[in-house]
Amino acid sequence: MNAERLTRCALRQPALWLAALLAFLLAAAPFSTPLFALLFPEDPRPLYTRASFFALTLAHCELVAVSSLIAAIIGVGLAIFVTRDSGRDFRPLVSAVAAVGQTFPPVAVLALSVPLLGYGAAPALAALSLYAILPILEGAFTGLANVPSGVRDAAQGVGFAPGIMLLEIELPLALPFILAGLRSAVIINIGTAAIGSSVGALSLGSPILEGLSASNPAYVLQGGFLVALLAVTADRGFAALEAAVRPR
Amino acid sequence: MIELDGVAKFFGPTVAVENVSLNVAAGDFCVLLGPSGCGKSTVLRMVNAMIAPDRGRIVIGGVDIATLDPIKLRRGVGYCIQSVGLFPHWTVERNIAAVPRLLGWSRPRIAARMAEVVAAMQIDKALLPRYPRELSGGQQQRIGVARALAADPDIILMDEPFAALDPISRAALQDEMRRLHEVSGKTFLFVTHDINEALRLATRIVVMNKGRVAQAGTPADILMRPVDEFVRGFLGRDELPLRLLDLVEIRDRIAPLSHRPSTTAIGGNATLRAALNMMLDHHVSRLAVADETGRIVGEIGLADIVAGGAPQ
Ligand SMILES: Nc1ncnc2c1ncn2[C@@H]1O[C@H](COP(=O)(O)OP(=O)(O)O)[C@@H](O)[C@H]1O
Ligand SMILES: [Mg+2]
Repeated sequence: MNAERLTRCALRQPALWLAALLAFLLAAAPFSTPLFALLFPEDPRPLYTRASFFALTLAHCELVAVSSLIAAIIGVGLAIFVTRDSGRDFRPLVSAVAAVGQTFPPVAVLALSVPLLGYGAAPALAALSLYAILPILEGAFTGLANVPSGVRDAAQGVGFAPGIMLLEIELPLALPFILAGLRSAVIINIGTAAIGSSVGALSLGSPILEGLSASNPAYVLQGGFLVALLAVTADRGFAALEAAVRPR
Repeated sequence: MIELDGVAKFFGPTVAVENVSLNVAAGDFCVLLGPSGCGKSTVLRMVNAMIAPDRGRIVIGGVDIATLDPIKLRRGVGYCIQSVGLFPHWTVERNIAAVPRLLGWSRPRIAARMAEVVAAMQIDKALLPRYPRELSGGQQQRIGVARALAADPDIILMDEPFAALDPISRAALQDEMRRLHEVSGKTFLFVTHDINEALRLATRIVVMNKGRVAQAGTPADILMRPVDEFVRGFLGRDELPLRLLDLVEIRDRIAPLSHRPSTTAIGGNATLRAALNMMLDHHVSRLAVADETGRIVGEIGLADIVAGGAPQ
């Protein structure tokens, strides 16, 4: 009965269908040469084969996941800090720095981090993490600042220690806002991670960049389509997650 | 039970509380009464160790609270506020059980205590699995009071808990508090700006003005001998004599039965105000007075009410 309802619920999730579609495409990619030969008849090698699309997607997801995690820890941590009594004075400074960080174009951050971190995944991770902090910080800050003062007062008054209050009251109440911030950060990062290939990180940007430099539109299409599908899947996934934590 | 000794609190240039000394005995229902901004909440929050006094001492049960762990102190004291502050992401049941859980009580102990509190506060069991936003204001505050009582504290602090409620819910909860005070013998420190609420609940009233205690005493003391113009004004200058009628029971003014007794009867434990009301209602100037069993034991006339004299 309950399992049945759960299945029915799951079947209604677009995220699940999109993920299945993505898995199918990745599995079918090695056999898709005839299709792209049909679409791009002049192209002698119409399918990107330098790395498998599965490996590219995995590397892309890793970049996004690790950078979003780093950004989440820093962003939520900063939001917690500036909503404590001890950190209240730093609030303007933190939001100013975070806003400035966001005005840097990602390519510039990449270019600047290469001399420091060398080529590869490291500069890409640094740029992506930096980029994702602001939306997460904003979401978490809004969520924490929106905890009703009566709820805070009551929690303090009946004897919640500050740490317990943060874990049991404030963070759960801020969770929808934190998730919304995380959602924009992840979506932005899925797009931006493609640029990471320009500093040597493996990602779905690799076929796009090679396609652009070698005038091979088939590669651009392949990489671009998977990036877009990944972004839509993640977006629907977060939508489902947000619906699940939304108060009944 | 609760002693304040020369307590003061300043917020920058604002004097919130100045030289307040109080002694709330165990079992008192002490009401802090005064206009908005006179420092009532600050006093209450200092007693709950949420604000540290700048001067003076607060002693609870013989112990200076400055020497106690404030978190432990708060878990041992009931606290209830106007905005209720139920935790919106928790069910009613979990809200009520908040403090016992913080105290690490066992599940069976929490369950047993929950049953007691739910019964004492007459909470509909159907509400327990619901979320606070599904409840009316009156129901929410009933849960707020239940949360304050859950760990069975000896002291209960309440900051204008019923000020935002409709008159019917407010009256119902006031009755609940009276009953609770009578049966539990707990010590209440209750903040309000509403003189009627204070008279209805208090065994002791502390009138505050601009951070200071203007007058402290029993409701009768304060009504009959307001110390200054401020207190007189705050009690409602024009209605003072009428309010006094609230404090006196008919049996204290009862006269022997005359030869032509009134056909309208009233219980001896009703107040003089109720007697006056009934006289006006029935267009009579005398009422027969009945005891608990309904036997007529005497009568009361308009003159007996007007003649006055101090209630004891
Ligand atoms: N945290 C605070 N910061 C600054 N001023 C405060 C603070 N809390 C209370 N006050 C001031 O102290 C005075 C007394 O406030 P309060 O105790 O809340 O009064 P009441 O509860 O009687 O309305 C008011 O003037 C109020 O503005
Ligand atoms: Mg107040």
